Parts: sequence; structure tokens; C-alpha cells
Amino acid sequence: MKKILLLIFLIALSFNSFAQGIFGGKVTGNFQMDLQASKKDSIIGAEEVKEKLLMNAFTNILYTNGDFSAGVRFEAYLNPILGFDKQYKGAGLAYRYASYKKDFLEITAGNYYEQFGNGLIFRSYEERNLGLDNAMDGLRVVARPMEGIALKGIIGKQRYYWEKVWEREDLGLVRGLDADISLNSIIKSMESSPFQMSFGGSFVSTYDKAEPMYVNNGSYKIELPENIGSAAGRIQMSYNQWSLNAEYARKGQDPNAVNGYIFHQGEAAFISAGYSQKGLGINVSAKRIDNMSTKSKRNETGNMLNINYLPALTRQHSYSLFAMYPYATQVNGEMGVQADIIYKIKKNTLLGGKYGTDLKLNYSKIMSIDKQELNPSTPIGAIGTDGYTSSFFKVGDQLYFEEINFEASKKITSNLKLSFMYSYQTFNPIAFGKEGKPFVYANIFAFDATQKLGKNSLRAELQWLKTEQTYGDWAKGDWIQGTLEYNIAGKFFVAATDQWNYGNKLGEKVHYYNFAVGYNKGTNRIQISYGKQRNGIICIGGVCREVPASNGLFATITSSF
Amino acid sequence: MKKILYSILLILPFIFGSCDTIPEENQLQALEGETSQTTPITESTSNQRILLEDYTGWACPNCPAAAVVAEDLSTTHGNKFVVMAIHTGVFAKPSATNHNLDFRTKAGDDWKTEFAITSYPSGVINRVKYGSAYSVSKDDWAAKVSEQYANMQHLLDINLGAKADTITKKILISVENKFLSNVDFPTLINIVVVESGIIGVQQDGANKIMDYEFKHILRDNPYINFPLTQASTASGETIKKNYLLNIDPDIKDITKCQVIVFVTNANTKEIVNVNKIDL
Repeated sequence: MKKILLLIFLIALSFNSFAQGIFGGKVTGNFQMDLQASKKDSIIGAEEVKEKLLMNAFTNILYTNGDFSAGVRFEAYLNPILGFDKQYKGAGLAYRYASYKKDFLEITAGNYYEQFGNGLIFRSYEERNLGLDNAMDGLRVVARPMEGIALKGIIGKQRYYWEKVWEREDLGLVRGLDADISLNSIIKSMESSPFQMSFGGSFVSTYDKAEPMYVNNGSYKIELPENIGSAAGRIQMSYNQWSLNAEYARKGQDPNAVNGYIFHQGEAAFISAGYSQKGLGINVSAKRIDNMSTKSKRNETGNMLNINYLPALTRQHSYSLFAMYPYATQVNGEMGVQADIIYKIKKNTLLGGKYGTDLKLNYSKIMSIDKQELNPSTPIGAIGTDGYTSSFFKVGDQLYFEEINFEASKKITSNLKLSFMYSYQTFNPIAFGKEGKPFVYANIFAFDATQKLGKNSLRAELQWLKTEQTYGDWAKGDWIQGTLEYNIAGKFFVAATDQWNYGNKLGEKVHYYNFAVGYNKGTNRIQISYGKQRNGIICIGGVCREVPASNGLFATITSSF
Repeated sequence: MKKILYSILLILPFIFGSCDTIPEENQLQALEGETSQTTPITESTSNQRILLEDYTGWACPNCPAAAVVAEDLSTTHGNKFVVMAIHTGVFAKPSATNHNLDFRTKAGDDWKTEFAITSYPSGVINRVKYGSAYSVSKDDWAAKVSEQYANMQHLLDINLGAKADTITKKILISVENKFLSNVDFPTLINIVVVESGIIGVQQDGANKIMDYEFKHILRDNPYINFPLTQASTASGETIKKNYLLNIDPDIKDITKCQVIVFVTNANTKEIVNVNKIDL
């Protein structure tokens, strides 16, 4: 009850003070509530919801006054909607902080998010759709002693659901330092140079108290390191249209539940090079990951308590059939490449038409890394050993994921826009944790047309997934999906979607229909939908969570102030 | 320049945490002690037993009274009651007064810290926590022991065999752990040696007893927290293990020693059962 009253007070306070501010400061914030009422549906595997109604909600309240800012976030999972970890059940202040800047220092006390470089050794962030929040609770200091130099220090413990982290000895203490130097800001003669260069380095150490661990029927004890350190160096360069971003990271011994308690040191490398000019963009990226799962609790699995972030080199799709087989980063080892070409055919040309035509070509391929035995008597990954050796440039022989996709979008008239997308995907179910299952090969098409009708618009979308794999689970044969969406003056919309598994040979050919209405006014938005949702996986940036099947009502309310 | 130096000084404390490196030869350590040798089982239990850890010291004026309470409980409960006297803390520090007789052990010092023993005498009864504390005043020992006998579940029987070899300076212990019910927690086994019949100086109130007989003194080289079972064990399962213990060179008379074996709940530290055997 107290928490509800506090929430009401905070919201009332923010509305009241929006125009005038408090003590000369300003209050802003946002709010979101998701409601789900799902019923049991044995055909699609939707579980019974005994509570009848599930809810996720949060509100951020931020106060700024000159160089001072403070904020809170109240969250409520009463109870968590399907697919969200039940350990989130409850309500309370999940995030609170105070921060000020003085001269060249910026100090934050309480909760904060931060990232070093590309995140290979440290990234604290929130991804609400994944139910992922590893916010730090502690202190953050940023020093900018001069233009072009930024030094960051962090210390604290990560959020772990609603746990009182400072009372849990088994949750590790994270410390870190990052330095970023921009040469163009330091060297005056390079200030206006077309050649831009910055480099940086970071170091992160986690203290994770070691409990005795015994293996082989208790005959052996693993001596676990309590301080796990990682270091990274990075460089960013650009020259006119060319750019380069590279980072290399190394992790010390970190036997943990994800890597099977081996002492093999971790390693990650990421490089991205690009060329960009008007009408043309090319980007090529490559990465190598070797045993880089880093958590602040060595026995933890799943998405919680990740200290670092390992970027996915696959395209993030918004069309749902294209995202049917999403790829999850294999933190124990993978090597990948991705290439993107974006080209705009000029307007008033034969192929470009009156408005020009946008073309996108994307290719990605992810393979395993090569692993060799330490010696003939020690199998790869043997617990309590170094695990294996792996040559940096040698690619393994297991394909994890491959995709080529092409997209074209063209404005036909001032009121009509057409888009076409095609993708060929090769998917190894190891990404779902199902090693040894047959690959899935899928051809996927999408056609999208948007017609403006005065202030209104009508969008029609057709997607088609064609695959021979029908062995069940996630491989259920062919799918087709149609969507019609009508938008009235940008404020009101209605939509109808049907996703039909017509190629299912092992079960019912289910229609996953969905009807939605929504209303926007200013910064407020309400959307209500009713229908069936198939089970699947949602992945964002290589981190995934399961989405269970559901059948019923779903509503979302968002607002900001 | 000042700002840069100041910044570095401010940030440096954050990187004091570093990186532990475990040499390859230490990563996976074979646990010393287990052996394939056996000795006949001669001491069997068929009941729930309780271990009293009596934290004491030669200079502790109230400790002789606590030892009397312990003996009374042994008389009352017979073989069901096992005593281990742990000499530790400030009152156990040897001096010229007690002829530098040192009964302290590393295990005893570690347990003192683990169970937050700050006053003497203190008892820990089957490592059960009362409120936020393990230690129990001697005046409450009898009541707490009776309470535990009434409430404890009899989940395990520990049967023992033991043989001391003064030539190799080792004690061979054979243990049979018979699970009487399903146990859904991991367990650890502890093996200690206690010695009785040592005469020395003991403070007793304002007086000193010059020929006090010390009993059940914990000796060195125990086996602490060896893994016995992992996640769960089914009713009826019997786990047989054999251990070779090094005889503490400070032991005066091996024939006045007992081996105490107790099995604990790895999650809660509570003792599941205990048994003892004379050498």
C-alpha cells in the first residue's frame, strides 16, 4: 500500500510541478503500463493465467536543476506478463540516483547505466522487452580534466531482480576504469583535420567470493579465482568518408556455470569499417568471441548479471516472419562477419523514378571457433582445466547462422510507397540451446505498401516464409502473414493481422489472428489488441528471451511529461 | 596538469581490484585423505545424535562449570551425545602459567570466526542457529539439547570403523552413511580427532586448578567440509567412504583419542547426524 501511495505522490508531484518546476528546477518523466489478459489455449500452447490479469508498469521521474539531477523509477510487475521472469514479481523503487557536475567532475551516486567502448568488457543497460536490467548500484565518477580526455570510474553491484544486493555476499562487486582520448581535441593542429582519431582503454575487475566447489564425486576441489579481471583497448578513426572502429578485449581466468568451469582465458575482438557518401553506404564488420561470458555471480545462467555485452553481427528484423529464427550470441565461442550495402538510386532516373529508390543488401555469417584438446587425455571443456586451445584466426567447422537479405523501397507517388524484402536464412538450432537438431533453411519474402489518403493512411503488408523443415518445435513449415493497418490523421489506428502456419505437417494449421486499435494524443498513447500470439524467441542485440504463446487481450498505455 | 593528476588520483582507487591467476597445477586439486583401504565397521548408530561444540580455554574462569554441564549431558544421554572441546580465543592463548600448553587448532580458530563466538564458555549445538546466533550459553544447553532431540528428523545413520597406525602416523577411518529418508540438500562430511585425559592448568573462578583433566580436546589435521553428496540423495542409499587422517604430532596418547564424524547440510551448516569411535 505504501508503495502505491508513493507512486501516486510522485506522479501527482510531477504533474503539479511540470510547468513551474520545483525550487527552480524541472521535473520530467515517462510512464508505461502493459496489461495482459490471456486465456488457456491448448492448440497453441497458451498456459492458463490464474490471476486472469497480468501487468508490467514503470514510471520514471527525473528532476534537473542546473548541474544537479536526481531521478527515480518505480516498477510494478503485478504479476509479470507472460514471458517475463517471475522473480520480477512485486513493486518498488527499482532505480534511484543523484548526480551533479562540478568543474571537470561528474559524480553519480545510486543507480546508473554505463558502457565502456563497444561494451566488450562492461555494459550496464536496460532492455525492457527482454526483461533485462543490470543497472549498477554504487558510485560513478567521470573526470574530464581537459577537452578530449574522459576518465570514468565505476564501482558497485548489479541489480538482481528485487534482491537487496548489499545483503547478498554471493553477488559480486564490480569495479572498473575507462579512459577515452580524442586526438583531435588534444592536438590543436588536428582540430579541423579531416582525419579524426580517438582511442581508449578500459579495465574491469569483479570480486566474486568463491565457495568451495567439488567435482568427480567429490574427489577433486576446484580452486576458484575470486578476482576476475578484463581489459580492453579500442581505436576509432575516420577520414572523410571512411571510418574504422576496432576493439580487442581479454579476460582472465573465470570458471563459471556458462563455460563449464574451465580456466581458459577469454578473448573478444570486434572491427567495423565503413564508407559513406551521399547515396551510398558500405559497412563491413567482423568479430571473434572466445569464452567471454562475464557475470558478477559465477553460478548464474540466463540473462541476468551480465557485466559485458557481446554485439550480434546479424540484422535485427522488424518483420515478424523474418525474425522467426533469431540468432543468439554464442558467448562461449563464435566468429562472424557482416556486410551491409545501402544505395539510393537517384531520383529522376530510369530505375530511381521520381523520388529515388532505396536499396539495401545485407549478408552475415556466424561460425564456431576452432577448439583443440589441451592433451590427448583431457577432453575439450573438461571441468577444472584450461578447457582447450583455440587459434585466433582459425574458424571452427560448425555453422551457426547465415543470412543474405535484400530490401528495396520506393516512393511511387507522393502518396504511395512500396517496399519489398527477401531473405534466405540458414539457422542452426544451437542458438535456441538445442544442439544437434537439424538446420532450418528458409526463404522469406515481404511486400509492404503504404497509401496516404489525405490525412489518413492505409498500410498493407504480406509476408511469406517458405521452408522444407517441418520436424516440429520451431520448425513448423511454411507461414504466411497479412496485415492491414488504417491510420486516421496520425492519431487513431486500427489494424488486423493474421499469421497462418499453413505448412504445419505435425499439428493444426493455426491462424494467429490479431486485432488492434490505438490512439495517440500528444505524448500519450493507448493501444489495445486482441488475438493469438505464437510462442517464439525475441532477440535484441544477440540477447534473447522466450515469448510464450498467449490468447487474449493486450493493452499498452504510454505517456511522457 | 593539476586536473589530469587529480583525475587520475580520483579514479585510481577504482582499479585496486585486480585479477587472480590460479596456476595450472592448482586449478583442480585432488582431495587428500580418501583411500581405498578399509577397516571393519565397529560403531553403528540407529538414532539421532547431537554434537556439542564447547568453546573454551585454559584461562577461562567459567569454563570448568560448562565442562561439568557437558559431562552431565553425556551421562544423561549416553552415546547419543557427543562433545568436542574447542580451545580458541584469548583464554586459550598459552603462557608460562599453563606451561605453554597449547590446545588451539586452525579448525577451532576458523569455527570461532564462522560461528561468531565472542564469549566463553559458549556452546554450539548441532550448528543450529537460534535467532541470529549459533552460540548458546551453558545455562541453556540442557534445554536446547532436549528441544533438538524432540524436533530433529533422523535422516542419516553414520557407522564407523577406525584404526590408528603409530608407525605411519595415520588413522584409517571407514564410514558408512546410510540415508533413511530422501534428502534434498547437498551434504558435507567432517572428521576430527579429540583427545581426553591430558592434565594441565585450568582457571576456575578465582582459583587455578593445577591438575585439571582436559577432555574431548579438538586436535589438529581434521578433514573439514569434504563433499559427501551433491543435490539430493534417495532414501535407502548408503555411501561408503574411507579416509586416511594424519595423526596430530601434538597428541599425547592416541589410545585416549576418539574420532568424531559429523555430516552437515551444505546449505544451512546444520549437523544432520554425528557419531564417534574410540581409537
